[in-house]
Amino acid sequence: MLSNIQTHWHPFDAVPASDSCWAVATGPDGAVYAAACCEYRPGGTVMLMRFDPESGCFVPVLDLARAVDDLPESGRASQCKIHYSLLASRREPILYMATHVSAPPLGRAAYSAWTDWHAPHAFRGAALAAWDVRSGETLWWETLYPREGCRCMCLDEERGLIYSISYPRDHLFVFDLATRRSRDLGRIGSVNAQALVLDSRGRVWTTSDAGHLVCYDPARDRLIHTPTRLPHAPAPQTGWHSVLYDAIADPCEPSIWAVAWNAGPRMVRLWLDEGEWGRAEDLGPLTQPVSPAFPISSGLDHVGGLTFGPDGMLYYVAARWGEALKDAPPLSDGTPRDRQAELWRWDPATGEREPLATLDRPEATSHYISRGALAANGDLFFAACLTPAPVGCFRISGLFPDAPQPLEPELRRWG
Amino acid sequence: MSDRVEDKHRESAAALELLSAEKITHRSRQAREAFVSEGLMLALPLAFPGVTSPIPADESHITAFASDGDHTIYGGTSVAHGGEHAHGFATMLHGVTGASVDFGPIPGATNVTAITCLPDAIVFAANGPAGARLVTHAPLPVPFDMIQEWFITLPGYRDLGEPFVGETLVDLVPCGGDALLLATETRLLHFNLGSCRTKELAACPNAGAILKLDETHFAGICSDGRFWRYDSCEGTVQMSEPFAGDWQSAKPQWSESACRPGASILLADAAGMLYELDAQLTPTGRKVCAPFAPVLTLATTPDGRVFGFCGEGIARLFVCESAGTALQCRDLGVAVSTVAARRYGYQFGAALTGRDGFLVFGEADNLGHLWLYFPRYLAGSDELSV
Repeated sequence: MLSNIQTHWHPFDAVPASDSCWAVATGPDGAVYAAACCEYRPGGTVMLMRFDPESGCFVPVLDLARAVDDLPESGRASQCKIHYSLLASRREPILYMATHVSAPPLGRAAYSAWTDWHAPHAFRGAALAAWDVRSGETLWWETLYPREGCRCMCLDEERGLIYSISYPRDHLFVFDLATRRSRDLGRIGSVNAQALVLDSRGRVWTTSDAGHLVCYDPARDRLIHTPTRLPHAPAPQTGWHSVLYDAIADPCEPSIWAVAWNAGPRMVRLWLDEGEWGRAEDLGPLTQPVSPAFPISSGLDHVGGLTFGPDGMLYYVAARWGEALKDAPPLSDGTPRDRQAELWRWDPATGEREPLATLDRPEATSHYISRGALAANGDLFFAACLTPAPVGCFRISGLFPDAPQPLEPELRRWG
Repeated sequence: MSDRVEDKHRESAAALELLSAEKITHRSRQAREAFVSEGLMLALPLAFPGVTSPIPADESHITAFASDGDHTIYGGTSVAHGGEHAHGFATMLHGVTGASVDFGPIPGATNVTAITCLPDAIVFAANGPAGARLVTHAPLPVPFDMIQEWFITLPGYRDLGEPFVGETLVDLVPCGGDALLLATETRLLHFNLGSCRTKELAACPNAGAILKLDETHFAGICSDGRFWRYDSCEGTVQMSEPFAGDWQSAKPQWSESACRPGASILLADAAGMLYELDAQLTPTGRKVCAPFAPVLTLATTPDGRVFGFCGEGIARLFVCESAGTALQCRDLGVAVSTVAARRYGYQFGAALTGRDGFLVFGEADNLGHLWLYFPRYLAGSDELSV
């Protein structure tokens, strides 16, 4: 562990009901934005937050439900969260964001995207909004698709396209920024991958339920299930549920670093430009071993927050847990000290890795980190998903004391 | 925030408070209740698992079924966005089998709407940009033992006659002798298998699916609501007066009758209304609305229950059965398979009754699976319901 780094916990105090955070991203203005989601509260709505370095707090900047004209009074399942769908333009001062479904309608205790599909209170649909970080204006919004939420999204700014995966039906959609029309490219499967990535040719990739890479090539206008598979634990897994979870482009090499949404997550390096259907390089497991006889939850055995630092190193956060707790419900409260998040640094040149710090959230568990972001001052931010409310982000300072200021963080093209 | 919203929030918070201690249990129950709540569904990939790849995802929307005397199921697919060719396939479930065999892409076809099994050929109604065609493939004999070793040959497709340019085939059935009865979107045709010659029987707007009443009598409903009846001995087609219903905006669906000669038949219109007809197609006066519209498929168990899928986007399984003197429909939930493939099922395009009374549904979606449904056993009472 390094002695000169500090970890800070920044709860979304301005949104005390916020109970999950799936998206954190650096904006085109260099500021760090995060989504304060309210998915367990009936009628809960999501608030876009911006980190204010002076006050050291996240401050609300956009009530997205209001911006897209879908307030809880509608009686429908509410616009409660932004999942892996917060993207920054590299050309304009715009943040793109899309909403996801989860929270029950106001006055109802529960909501199921399957049970309530045909109901009058069904979710109106994922709303995609373009928000100007300078003026604070919502420039436009559109419904991406009715009744479904947006699980994840990626931006191909060169071609003016936004790809997304819908939930629960697991369809890939493409949205044309010029015409603002959405087009259904077909169903992928059932598990619902958590990330979409782009290669240098403008092809968009995700994974099937069986862990195969699935590729949509705009030139062929066809979704292809490829023979290339993400790696998985050799025993007892079959590759099922090895769907992409988090992925980050390598700043130097034409490759993408990724982890899967499956227990026993492994570091994978995707070389998508190799051959017709790319190559997945297995770099081994990232979390502690578990008995193959125990069906451990991917809600506990988890890695996320993949972020490159200005030093060219890859940072990520892996769950660590006490053996006695491995069969406890991972999302419940209690005994947080036995479920922790550990920040790691991976050297892409050597493959060596080392733990740097424990992300310690007072009075709560923090083991499930969704995404990470690099701020212009060199601080790393990691979104913490789990209740109790309010949730928030970890900030890691002091990692890059020698980096020139301000940095120009690489803006993520996918959520 | 308005007072009304504050009140609603308080109500919601109170509701959640009651549940908070059992949040995960509650979510699990909710997830269970969304899906098929009676009987058991299994989804099988269109592949020989561990041996072959499934039919390409966007070419695997199952839209037609038929089974032969060996209970081998023959299927036909249609393409979705990006797909190029429809496929034919065979699925074997009995004996040492348990696999689907892809016959390969049908050249020039994007949509198979119907299949019939003849003793020495499987006939596919294959539509494509160049028109409609009858295409045959040899039946697939049981390939020895699909655990130990197997021997499969695929001789390929053969065109039967000339294409029907500018037309779309909707259904086909053997109608006695060496002939097929064909329904297109505009007319009824008699097709001689020996000479491959076609004779028009009647103009018939959207003749729809063909219902086999007995060995020589066939029927259907046009999009204007008139029933047509074909007598293959007389070679005549008779039209009825229009039957009130919505026959325009979605394909009407018939329940099977062939497995229960003389039994009543259900006919679903585009609005999801199910009408009961007797064996002579006379309405009995009983009708009931499916849980959602449109009705996508119907299949009948030997005890007379009719199961089907209905609804757009995420379809739901339902059962239509007698309740005293009335008909009733019960919503059974969204299709899910957790034994065999682990998959949700959202859209279905074909159905048939399998050997021994289980039902087979064809998934009309990317990476379409063949779904087996084993309904709850009824022993004359509900005592087995536990």
